[in-house]
Amino acid sequence: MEVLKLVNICKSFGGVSALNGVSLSVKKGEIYGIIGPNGAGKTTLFNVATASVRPDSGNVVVNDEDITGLPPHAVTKRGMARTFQNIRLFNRMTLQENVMVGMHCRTGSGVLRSVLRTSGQRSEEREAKIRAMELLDFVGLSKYFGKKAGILSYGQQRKLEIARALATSASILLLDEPVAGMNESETEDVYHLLTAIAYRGITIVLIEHDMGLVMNLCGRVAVLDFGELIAAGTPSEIKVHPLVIEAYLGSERG
Amino acid sequence: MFLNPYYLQIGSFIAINALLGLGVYVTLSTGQLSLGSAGFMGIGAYTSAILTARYNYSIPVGVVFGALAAALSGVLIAIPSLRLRGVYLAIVTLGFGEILRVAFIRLENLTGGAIGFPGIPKLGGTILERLKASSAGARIFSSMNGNALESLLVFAILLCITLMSAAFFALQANSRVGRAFSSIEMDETAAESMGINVYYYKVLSFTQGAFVSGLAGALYGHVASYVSPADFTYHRAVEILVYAILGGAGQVMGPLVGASILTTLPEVLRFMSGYRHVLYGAIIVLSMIYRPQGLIDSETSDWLRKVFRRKRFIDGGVK
Ligand SMILES: Nc1ncnc2c1ncn2[C@@H]1O[C@H](COP(=O)(O)OP(=O)(O)O)[C@@H](O)[C@H]1O
Ligand SMILES: [Mg+2]
Repeated sequence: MEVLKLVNICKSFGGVSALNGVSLSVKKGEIYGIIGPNGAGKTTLFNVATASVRPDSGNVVVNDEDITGLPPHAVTKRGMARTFQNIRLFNRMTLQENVMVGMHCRTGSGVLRSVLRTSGQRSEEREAKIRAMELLDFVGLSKYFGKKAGILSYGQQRKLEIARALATSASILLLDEPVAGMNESETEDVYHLLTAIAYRGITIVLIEHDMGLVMNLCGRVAVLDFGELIAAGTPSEIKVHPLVIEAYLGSERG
Repeated sequence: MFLNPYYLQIGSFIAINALLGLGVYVTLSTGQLSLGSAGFMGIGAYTSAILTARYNYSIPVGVVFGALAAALSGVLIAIPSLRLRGVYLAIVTLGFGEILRVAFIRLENLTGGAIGFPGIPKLGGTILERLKASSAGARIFSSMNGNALESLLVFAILLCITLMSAAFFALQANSRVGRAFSSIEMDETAAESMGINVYYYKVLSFTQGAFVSGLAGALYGHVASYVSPADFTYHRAVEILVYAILGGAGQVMGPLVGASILTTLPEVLRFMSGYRHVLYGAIIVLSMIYRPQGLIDSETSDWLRKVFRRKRFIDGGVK
């Protein structure tokens, strides 16, 4: 079953075409890779999928519902969450609070219940704290739960972003370069983390430059170049695809 | 000494100013810098004055409707201003305040125009009269200076309202709503992608700020018993902003401390007569240079909380 379908997405920024008729569909439970040279439009594709950028044309379908035109928070509510290539944590909040913000759309205490500290509000808060600890533990950061997110190392911040995205109870996770800037052992950690997330039945779409990670982890891979989808298939098919080789050699030359 | 009406009146103005500072705090807690406090204050003051002085509604009714009127205008300003940020929002809200001030001058039939609105019923007046009428109250009354009793009553009411508002905001800050507010303040894009309806929470925080500003304005009218457009100038809006910023706008404690210091300071400096404004300004400048985050930041407030906790723990142990 297809949980995420991008249909004919076009997007240009002031005459520069960032996406030109890109279509792809992601099946439930798979790890789907998106690769391509810098500036190919990968991040823009995530921005369009999560509604933070409105496409010029095309549709985004999540679990058979057309979500094109919905605001980003409504997309998250429908079970799709993301991380950012340039990490966007709430730096002056603690790790635990960061993860609890992710639970916002799965909890319901409004102003009145919050200020009156009703029993429902208190138990919701308690459960949110426990779940935040579980998620921090899952990504290996629970010992820093009360520290401010800003003090974490680069690699730890990327893991915290994943925990925060998981906190939304997403069934589809979009990860934008989750191991960028990480050393080998941290990359290995993330490899195991993503395997564990997929094991929970969560669908993962992964933008990554680390070819080793993509080839080991992804069942299928799509290749973007200059806003066009130039190839899609299994890692072994992609590796030998002439257009892909040309795009990568071309980009290295230029 | 504590019953000295002069001190009690300063205390009352501290309470009102602290309330205004809280209005800045809550608006700023979603990253919105508003200079509309004086305008919202005016809406609250005139609404309550008109309801009580012209239409004989009781003071509590006037005050509540004053605050609600300010909150409603807050919603009307917040929605079209949602896309504005930082100084741009500040300038729009400043303009809004000035438009209101001119409206207060022009709508003479309602507001009394530039001359002002005199004869606003005094806060605590009714309670005081009832007290005088009852036999027990009459006894207390005769044993005390009537002026002092009235000032004490007014101060007690204002202190109560201010502390309740501060408690409201402190509880809200440490909750799902408060986390949504600070996530928006720190990174709107990330907040939105975490499932937070950024528009809703920005309008909510702006409206809450307008509400407390209107509340403070309404109360101010019933304490001073006279208001005029000169009370709601942009100069006043900046003064209110300084209460929050100097005290520390990131914490509920901040505006309370800021308003207390800056309301007391001119009185303490009275002996310097002509130079007191210079020193007042200098103290603000120095404090902002040495503590740009405000006197109360998250560390001081954590520390205060810890001290308070420990004390409570020891109290419990003794029992
Ligand atoms: N918000 C934006 N405004 C203008 N141009 C943009 C914006 N976002 C992306 N672009 C442009 O779109 C193209 C694709 O960018 P991006 O999606 O970030 O590429 P990738 O993630 O594959 O490196 C680039 O040329 C980039 O400069
Ligand atoms: Mg990118």
